[in-house]
Amino acid sequence: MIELERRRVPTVILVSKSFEEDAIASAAAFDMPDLPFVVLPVPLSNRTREQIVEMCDPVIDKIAEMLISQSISPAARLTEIAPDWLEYTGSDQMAALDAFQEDFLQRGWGDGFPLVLPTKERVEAMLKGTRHPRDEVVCRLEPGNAMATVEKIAVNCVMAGCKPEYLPVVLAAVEAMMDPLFLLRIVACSTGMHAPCTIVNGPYGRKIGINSGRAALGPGAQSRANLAIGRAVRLVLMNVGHAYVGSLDLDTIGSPRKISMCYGENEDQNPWEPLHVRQGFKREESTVTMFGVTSEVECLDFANTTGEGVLNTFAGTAIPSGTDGVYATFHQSVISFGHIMLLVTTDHAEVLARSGFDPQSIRRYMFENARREYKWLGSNQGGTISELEECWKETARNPEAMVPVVRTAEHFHMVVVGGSAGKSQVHLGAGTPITRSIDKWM
Amino acid sequence: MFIADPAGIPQPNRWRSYMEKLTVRNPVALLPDIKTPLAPRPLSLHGLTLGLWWNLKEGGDVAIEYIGEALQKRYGMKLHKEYSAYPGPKAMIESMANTANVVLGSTGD
Repeated sequence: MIELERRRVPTVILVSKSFEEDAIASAAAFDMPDLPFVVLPVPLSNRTREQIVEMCDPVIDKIAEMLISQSISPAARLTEIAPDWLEYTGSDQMAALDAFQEDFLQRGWGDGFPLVLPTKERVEAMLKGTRHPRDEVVCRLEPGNAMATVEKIAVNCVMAGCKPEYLPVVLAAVEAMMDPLFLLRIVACSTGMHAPCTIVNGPYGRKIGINSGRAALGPGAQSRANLAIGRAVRLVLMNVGHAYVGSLDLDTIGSPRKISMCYGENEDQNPWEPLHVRQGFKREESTVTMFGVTSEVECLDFANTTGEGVLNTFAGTAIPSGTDGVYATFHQSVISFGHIMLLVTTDHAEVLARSGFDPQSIRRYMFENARREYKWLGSNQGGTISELEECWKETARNPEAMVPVVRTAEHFHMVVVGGSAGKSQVHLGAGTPITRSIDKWM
Repeated sequence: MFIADPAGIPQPNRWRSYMEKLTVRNPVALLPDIKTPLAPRPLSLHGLTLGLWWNLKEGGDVAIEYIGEALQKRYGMKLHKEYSAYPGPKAMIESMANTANVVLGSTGD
């Protein structure tokens, strides 16, 4: 609608009550805060035609009026602009700290857990983690399109509990998420439970203590750097990208993965080239790879001693029917969606390598074998066959036809991570994994 | 709050006087001060072409087509549909901009 308004075509858009704040924030994000919309009581999906018509009747006059109205009142500002520095007082230091925690939470600036105070001294110390100037604009960060300066990112890193040496990783993560193929607007705003996952490769990760072994995605001291960096990415998406719940973050149920999700690749026990080398970087370079994860599924296999056996277990793990990756496989869309990351444990990697598999042949095997009857994978599509991708129209007429869960073999990706046990994971995801240099941000 | 001195005798907290006030940095990034104006509105809808824009999310088509047909009857409007999953292809935006005088959209949400 904004693009059409820019081309001098007047518009009105229907928005449900629960998406009203999102509509206001989205319009502001694209520098058009006056964009008109009409509010319906509830979203339109999963409603009968009669229910939808009943909602539409009362707004027809309003829509006609808004299409010709010469004076549209601007939408209310969602959040007040707070001062650059905020002061909190209390009868003692703990009372002042409590006042800070409560106020930041009430303003929507926290993730729900206690925050580290972003004092002047701590922000200055954090900024020493990069040579880049504090006022450098890394990007206008989606979905809110606010100015992502090095300093604002550093402030959120302090709040997340990062050490200064973690800052270049978070800056690289922000740069990676802004690649259009990452689909940040979908990852941040969707009603689905997408979480931005930060995967660290190269020597810098080892230097700052990124955990790539046992419980790399788990809690505890061994994952301190992982947890703080993942949390910083979340806080940056909120306070710099303006992806606040209810306004540019429309999660239906959500997931704790969204609070923090970061791990390193276990390069020491990887029998193949690591992820960042396959993504075009040198082995000695340090990188982050950002991947929007919608779901994680355990891939337990203690029994198989052949690569085919282990991959059959992976294939069986990667065929859920209700994900939006599957939706994208069959639906018409111009975007590359529904990528899948295999998190291969060292035990499984050893079996696969011994059987002669490498990342390319693993991709091909997964594409050929992670298949299921169309009736299971296509049943959540709605609409009609005419809305399907051309290549699936004939298949859709045969509900028993075996179909893949992704569009191409290149939609499968893999990393070696974790300790020694036959418990890998499959991460179902959104857009293409995007890799960027950490070295650039030191 | 008390802290112990080296001899183990409790002393009043010497930090208290400057820890009662905390000054912290605002973590929120600002939008640039840019405001793009809306398209100029027509004086009437009579005889215009109404574009219907839908992102294929369930239910949105039912709503805009119902409202579109109501406006068509009332104002003698023509209807022009452009339906595609997010994000709308450039060609679809071009087609809509070149054909419709006003547009009603729905994302289903």
